[in-house]
Amino acid sequence: MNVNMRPSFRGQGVSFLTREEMEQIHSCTLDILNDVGLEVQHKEAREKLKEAGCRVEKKRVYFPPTIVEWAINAAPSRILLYDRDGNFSMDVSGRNAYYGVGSAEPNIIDPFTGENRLCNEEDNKNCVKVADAMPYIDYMMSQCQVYDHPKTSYEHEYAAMIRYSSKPQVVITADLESTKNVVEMASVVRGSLDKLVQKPLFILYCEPTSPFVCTKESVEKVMYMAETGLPVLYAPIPMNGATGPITCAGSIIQANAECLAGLIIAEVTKPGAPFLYGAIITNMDLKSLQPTYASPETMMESLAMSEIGRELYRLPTWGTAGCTSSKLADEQAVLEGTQYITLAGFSGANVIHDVGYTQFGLAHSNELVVMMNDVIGRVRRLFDSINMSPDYLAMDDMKEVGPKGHFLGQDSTLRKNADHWESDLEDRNEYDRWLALGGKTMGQRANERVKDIIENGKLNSLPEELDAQIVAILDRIDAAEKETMK
Amino acid sequence: MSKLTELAACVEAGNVNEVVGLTQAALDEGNAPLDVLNGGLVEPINVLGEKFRLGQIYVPELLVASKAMKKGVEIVKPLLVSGAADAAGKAIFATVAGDMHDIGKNLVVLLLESAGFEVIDLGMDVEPEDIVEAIQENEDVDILGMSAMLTTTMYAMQDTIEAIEEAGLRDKVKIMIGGAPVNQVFADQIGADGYSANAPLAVELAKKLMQEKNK
Ligand code: B12
Repeated sequence: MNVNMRPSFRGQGVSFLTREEMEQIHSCTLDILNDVGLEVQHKEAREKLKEAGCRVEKKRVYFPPTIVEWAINAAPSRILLYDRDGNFSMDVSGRNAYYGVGSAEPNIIDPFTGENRLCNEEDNKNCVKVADAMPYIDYMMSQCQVYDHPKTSYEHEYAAMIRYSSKPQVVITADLESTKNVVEMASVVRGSLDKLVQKPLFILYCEPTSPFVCTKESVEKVMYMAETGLPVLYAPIPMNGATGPITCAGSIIQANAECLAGLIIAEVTKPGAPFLYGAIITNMDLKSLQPTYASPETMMESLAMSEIGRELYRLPTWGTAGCTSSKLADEQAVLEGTQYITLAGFSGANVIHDVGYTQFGLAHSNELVVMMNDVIGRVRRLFDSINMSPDYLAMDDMKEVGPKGHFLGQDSTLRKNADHWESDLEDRNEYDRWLALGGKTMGQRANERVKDIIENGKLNSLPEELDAQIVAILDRIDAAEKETMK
Repeated sequence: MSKLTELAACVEAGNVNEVVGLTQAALDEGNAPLDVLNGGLVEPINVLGEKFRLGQIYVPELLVASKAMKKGVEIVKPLLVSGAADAAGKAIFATVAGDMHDIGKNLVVLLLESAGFEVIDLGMDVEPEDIVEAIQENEDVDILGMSAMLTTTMYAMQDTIEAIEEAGLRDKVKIMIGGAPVNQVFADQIGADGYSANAPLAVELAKKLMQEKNK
């Protein structure tokens, strides 16, 4: 197993909390977990928590500090993900930053007509195709909600990911049953459930309901994943002012308590269960009543969570970036997406999701994915930082060239030019050539790129015989859906 | 400034602590209880409601002012002839079965309440039969409001409407729906009486449905 990461997956220097402040958040969180606790809407989980030493009153569970800290130490500090072919792909630990698309948007901004409309099965496939073609998108995540399949949308989203991309995944499911369906599909591709546990292909996305509720459905999923030995995340989405306190610090404390409750449930289910720590904390715009998703506060709060996860708890972390409250992939979307991607990378969040998430999650934009792919590429280059090895100091070059010369013909210029970031989306032409090429904006070029991939790209398909098995599972699920819809 | 104007300004500013005293002062000044209610308490909320709809103020300004209004109403109400302070209508609200998204529904409820509606909030993840039961238990209910945020749960609205029909209650209530994945087309398709995209519009819709109902 090769887990030696290229250094360009790591950056540093962005931080929103000092060590002392993190300790303070932790201690406030212990107080809240012990004093307020959470409503856990799952009987068996409550019993397990009680056995472990939590105080339980009806559905309310109070978590004493010793259990919280036991669970933090029980979880592994690293999750490894493998691609569809079983090759090592992501070392989710430390400061390694990986980016993925997402997630579960009901609408799409149609690349051909510009229309904002509900997603269908074709969009689902096309979104996977576009994201798969992006070199800097490291993993897939459920994207378009398939409107034609109200009950089995998540299975359709998953089937498209596994059928048309080899990248590892973060998966959203409706409930325990759809989680099992997804695990079945992934096991088919790996060869068996055991092999899937040895080489996980995906992390399951789960979430509590802020404030302070662990819903039955979310707990069921966490417990099932923990029992099976597959990685899971439990990321709260408190909205400051609505479902969390208005202040950043307050909502961080609340989110920390909610996320740790999920961690504790996973660890009491099976000590050592792989768990991804983090949250999306986003202030509600108190005029439009929508989550802002990429406000400066959202970035600070959510990235502070990943910092706490890594620095204080030594857990692998969840992150968000590349998303926007804008209605389409315009200047605002690029501004919000770019700032978030850059900060998330440098703050060292591990599994950063939601690239392409537009209209605070109500629509998907493939153009935004393509533009953000470029931003991630730039960020990776920034991660390289300045190479200080002896031949990079270029002492010989300067001595050779001296005053009034130039470096264009130097051997080093020929060789090391390849180090420099270049993009096939950004335009660096002089004006006339740019005009001759159509005088297009980056958004227009991104749209052309999307259409080209959809129309002319090759699908990264599963081998035929495996594909047939996935389709058979999907057919079975659809038949069951039809039965219940009658 | 007359005490009535002062009261209206106090409600608009959301000064919860001063409302009780000022309501009493406005009554002591000789204003009729109904004038205190309408001019001093309800009117400023209408003004804020309109400002919020136009995006000029933030929702907590409206909600805190409504809290202030309610304090004043408690004092005025016993002095009014019965019926004068009646609710604009009575509604039952729920986020439908399988759905845990309730903030949108909560906001609609809060705005309806500040517009003078009485609302029974059944919470989230509410099964069709529980909604049917609530309608049966509340003789005087006018409106049912349902919220769904998931493409996987929006059909529970249809199931609920069918259950209401089966129980023979469909004519008793006007049904309004909302939530991100639903739209007017869907509302028509499942036989709801109205849809609106946000909370201020939901208030207008509720008022319109009340007019239709009282015709
Ligand atoms: C916060 C949130 C959550 C919270 C909800 C907490 C809570 N207490 O409500 C939590 C974390 C629990 C959650 C869970 C899930 N969520 Co969620 N969530 C959101 C999010 C980010 C914001 C919703 C919100 O509160 N908006 C603010 C309110 C004020 O707006 P609103 O609800 O739209 O309400 C307004 C109008 O719609 C209207 N309205 C609402 N109701 C009514 C009713 C009537 C009668 C009328 C007239 C009007 C009306 O007025 C309101 C005020 O203006 C949305 C994305 C989004 N931007 O909508 C995703 C979103 C809705 N969630 C989504 C998903 C996928 C999920 C999960 C399935 C994920 C999972 N598997 O874990 C679960 C489902 C759990 C369940 N069974 O319900 C998807 C839905 C996709 C789809 N179409 O199915 C969305 C779109 C995000 C995304 N792209 O992934 N979520």
